[in-house]
Amino acid sequence: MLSVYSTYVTAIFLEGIFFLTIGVIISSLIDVFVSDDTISKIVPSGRVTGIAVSSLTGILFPVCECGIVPVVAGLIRKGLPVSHAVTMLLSIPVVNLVTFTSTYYAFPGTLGIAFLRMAGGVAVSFCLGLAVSVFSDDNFVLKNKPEEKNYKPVNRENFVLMDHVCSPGCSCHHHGEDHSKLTPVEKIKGVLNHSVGEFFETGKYFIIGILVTAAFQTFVPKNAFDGVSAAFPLPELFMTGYAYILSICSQTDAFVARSMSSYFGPGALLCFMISGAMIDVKTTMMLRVIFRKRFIVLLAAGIVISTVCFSFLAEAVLKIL
Amino acid sequence: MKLLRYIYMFREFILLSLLFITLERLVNGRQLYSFLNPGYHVFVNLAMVTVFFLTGAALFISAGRDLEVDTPQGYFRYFVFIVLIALLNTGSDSTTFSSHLTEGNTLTPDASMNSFSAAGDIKPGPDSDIYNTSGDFIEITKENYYFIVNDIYSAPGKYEGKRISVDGFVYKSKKLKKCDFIIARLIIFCCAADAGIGGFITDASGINESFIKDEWLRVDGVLRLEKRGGEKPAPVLKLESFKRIPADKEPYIYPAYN
Repeated sequence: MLSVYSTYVTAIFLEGIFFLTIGVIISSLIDVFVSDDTISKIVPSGRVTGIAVSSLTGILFPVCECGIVPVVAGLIRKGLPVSHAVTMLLSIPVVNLVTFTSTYYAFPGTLGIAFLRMAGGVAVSFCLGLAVSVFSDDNFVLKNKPEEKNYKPVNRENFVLMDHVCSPGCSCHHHGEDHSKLTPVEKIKGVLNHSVGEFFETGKYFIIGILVTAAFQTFVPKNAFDGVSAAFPLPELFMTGYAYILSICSQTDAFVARSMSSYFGPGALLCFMISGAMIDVKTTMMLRVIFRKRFIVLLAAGIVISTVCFSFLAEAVLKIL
Repeated sequence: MKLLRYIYMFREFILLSLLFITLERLVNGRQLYSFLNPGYHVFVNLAMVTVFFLTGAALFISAGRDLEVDTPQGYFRYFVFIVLIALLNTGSDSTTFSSHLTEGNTLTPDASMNSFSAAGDIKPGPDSDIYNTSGDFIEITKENYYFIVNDIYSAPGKYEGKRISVDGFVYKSKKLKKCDFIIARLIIFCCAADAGIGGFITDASGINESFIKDEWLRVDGVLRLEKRGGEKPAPVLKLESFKRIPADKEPYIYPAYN
């Protein structure tokens, strides 16, 4: 069993390690080189417009779920509204050209499933982003909020010695600091320091996620889905849970969904492909870098409910077509 | 004690170095094939570059620390990395993994067929002879496996009555007839986490021989279309002859790569 377990651990780690490392490096570059003003200029001012634009960001940035967490963490630190960040976090792994192409190849001869998957990614992320914007505040969502009372700017003397990774808005952070005053050498030191710190902080949750996922893969029988052919919403809920446990990369999960199409209808398969790309065991762990536990639980529930609702509508559309 | 303080001072550098060495060992030891579709190996190579960058950064940071000031804290995150590195160095046994995938898996011919029809537009490679399916005899090898098997499931009528030779392991399912088995291969779409099984139903009713689960065979037979539980007739290989062969050391089929 150890051999099987280590095979799963190694496979999932190799699949995600590049995206994690490039994610923390990009996050560090954003942190040091992008000013807060830049973010506020780029982000549309209107709530609905901003969230709508955020839900389509993946078309330009095809990043999978492992890489997007540290990048979004960096953007929140730079002042990106949390609702926009949540929208991007959920939409980018689904709504991007790589995922679209792999879905089209997995379901050849029809563009319907691929387009419905993209539409689902946009719809679910938009609705949940809007819900976050209306019903919650940063105190409820973020692990550390930017307006901490003991906020203090970075100690420039000890910048390179700072043995602490900043989570979004944490008290040590240089949020609001004018980075243009730092020398180029200090900026590079900042990127190096931040990259390593964030790699170990985010990587910790990434690895815990892998260890848990591999345990599921090793010990849960492969025929777990046999006989789950009841009426809506049982298959949809089952496939959502199955995607959560499997933690497969969003760029290849369509092939796995296709192999189960003799058991499940398109609605349940869409649930597998949309919710699995948005949240799974691995990303749940990684999200703890940014969000409070209670918000992660609510977010997961929101993803399940909205994905199942979308799949119901999508199946109705497919029947009409 | 001072040595331990130094180890702690360089903790990130030591762990990242071990991670880099592990990645290098996996890449150069050609072990990646057991875990990942070769189409994704480029990402592991790129990861080596980014991990190397982080290792250099960690050395820079560690060297700038004050040994006396830097007090040990936050052991857990480092412990998690040590566990990971240990598991990455445990290695993989494809036979055990193959058995794990087939255990408790009640794959039906329909599901098997769907695994293959998921291929999409796989184009023949440069050596077009092995993709030639116009003759009466088709030899399915690792190189043409995905292309031909996918084509058989996409347009089974084209292959009815043709003689086919293929290697694979014996996979048995309760949903099959007693005399049937699936001559199967393991498929890795992206990584071992999404590995699955696919293959042909093989009708061994004319052969007075019992086949054991997981044993490797080279089978030769004629392809027929028969109803086997699904809505449409499925391709069934009517077994005419077989040969027991050693298990393939690299048993996986990699869609969109082979």
